[in-house]
Amino acid sequence: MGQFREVRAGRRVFQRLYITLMLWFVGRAIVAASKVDEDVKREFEALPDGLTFSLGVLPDGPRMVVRKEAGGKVRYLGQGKGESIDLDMTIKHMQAFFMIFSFQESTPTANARARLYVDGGVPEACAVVRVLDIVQVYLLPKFIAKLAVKRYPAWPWSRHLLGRSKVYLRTVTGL
Amino acid sequence: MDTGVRDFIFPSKIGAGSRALEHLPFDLGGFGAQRPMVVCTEALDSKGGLKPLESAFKGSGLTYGVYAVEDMPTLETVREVWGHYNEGGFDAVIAVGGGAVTDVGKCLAVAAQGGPEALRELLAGGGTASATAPFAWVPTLELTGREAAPEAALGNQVIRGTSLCPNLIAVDPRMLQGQAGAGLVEAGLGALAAALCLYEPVEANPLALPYARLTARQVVAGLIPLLTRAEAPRGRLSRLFGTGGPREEEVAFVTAMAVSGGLLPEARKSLTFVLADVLSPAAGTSREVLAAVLLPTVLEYISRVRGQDLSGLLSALADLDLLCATPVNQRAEAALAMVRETINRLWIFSEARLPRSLAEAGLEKETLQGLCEQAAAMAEGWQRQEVESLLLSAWDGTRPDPNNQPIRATQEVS
Repeated sequence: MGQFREVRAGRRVFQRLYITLMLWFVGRAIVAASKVDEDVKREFEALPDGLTFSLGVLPDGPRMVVRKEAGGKVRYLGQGKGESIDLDMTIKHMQAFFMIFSFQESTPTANARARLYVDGGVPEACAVVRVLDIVQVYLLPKFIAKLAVKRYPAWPWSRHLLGRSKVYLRTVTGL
Repeated sequence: MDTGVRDFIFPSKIGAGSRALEHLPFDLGGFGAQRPMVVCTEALDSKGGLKPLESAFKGSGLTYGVYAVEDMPTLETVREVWGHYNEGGFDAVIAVGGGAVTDVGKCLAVAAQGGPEALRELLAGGGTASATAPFAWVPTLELTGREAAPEAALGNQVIRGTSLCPNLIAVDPRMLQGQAGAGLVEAGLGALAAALCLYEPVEANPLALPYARLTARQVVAGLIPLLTRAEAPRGRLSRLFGTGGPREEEVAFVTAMAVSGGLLPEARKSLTFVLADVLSPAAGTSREVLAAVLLPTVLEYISRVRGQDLSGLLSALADLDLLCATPVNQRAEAALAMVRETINRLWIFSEARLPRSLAEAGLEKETLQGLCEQAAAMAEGWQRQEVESLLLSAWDGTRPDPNNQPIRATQEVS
């Protein structure tokens, strides 16, 4: 014989708030980087027009939705409720997402540990991961960005300085 | 009759490594399960051993039940937990721990599909379970090595069936806390025997050998460090600044133990396990330990007396450097020496309680000779004199002497 109890799984309020904020900022930074950085521009040019991708967390966590519109313009669609998603990138657990976005675990390590699953084309998903890497290098100081990306790029200082300023300015102002 | 057809089934999905538990809500969702029932021991629950699991479910939006088994489980235990399962509308089973707890979990998964009466009938008739509810297993260090096997036991009654293998196995280092006990030594030895006895037949099953190699190598490499490791530091500061390193070795060892469960149906056909089955009731020692005692002698007999090539055995025990450095003709001897050395070293960690020969296992020589007939009848392709000679070598722990063996019948050799 034994003892029985029913448990309702708790909530992760702080992590949810943090991830919502980070996704909002990164979503806008992707749009900004697509206007400023040549590599990001090239990645988006290679993607088909109208492609909508999302990055979110299970089971009903926050997500960001970004679309490449006809003409190459990139738009951040917020939570993208009601949008049809072509490429859905989902992290399986809120804690895993928090570890990635708090730079305790890099994106490649998280991939290797099967924390991410992709519903859509793998080449497009790889392109989005590359874009995310570039954006993280722009947004984060080097000692943190090194934890987040597989290999910190050897860019000229002008790209770091000017690119970072432009990306931050456009992200905050939304221009 | 050998038809030349080989099969091997290992239906469990293993997720092992850092925060592997956090995959469980997602993976259970793949089976359409949203309300799992967790079965564990009362001791684990009361010591807070379920905290990593609770943390993994946090944020998943799931509601789950926890049933803590207090004493040795019986059919009544399963009936009681099934009552909670049925009333609460649960739809999956997660067993946390090893041994009896996983047996309760498996039986509950069977009862969840057909009710407790169907389970009782299966147990009474020694039947084959055909369908179960989704079943996940989270190992701790309370292992027996049978958890992932396609079988479940309640008391002396056993049911079998591939559906009894866990659908999911999550090996998370956070669940492998505490000190390893003597039970783990026995389980490790059983796993080693289950893996290496697959090399006994002339034509070993090539589909099972990769699993056997994985199991043997990780058990040999991981068991002794696990037994000698220092206790993990407690508290966040200790974890940050203390000596507690990554627990990759433990994870690899427990993963190998999980894989060894899948090898058991294949291993049971081997001479080592057939003899262990016959001798176990008379010795009063577990079948796994007896299999480990018999294993080196059986392999040595096969290699030295029957002249069978066992050079492939070294690939299961040594790394690639050692394998390449050892000439082909020396590989069987080197592998057999490694097996003996591992068992003898484990004898120290068991505080000299682990038998290294059948005599140390408490078997009398006369009893052994009395059991030879029965053992030879069950061992396909082995003559009585061969079995007797082999058992006598295993009794005093000597190596079988190829110059002092009964001559095999011509048709037997062919």
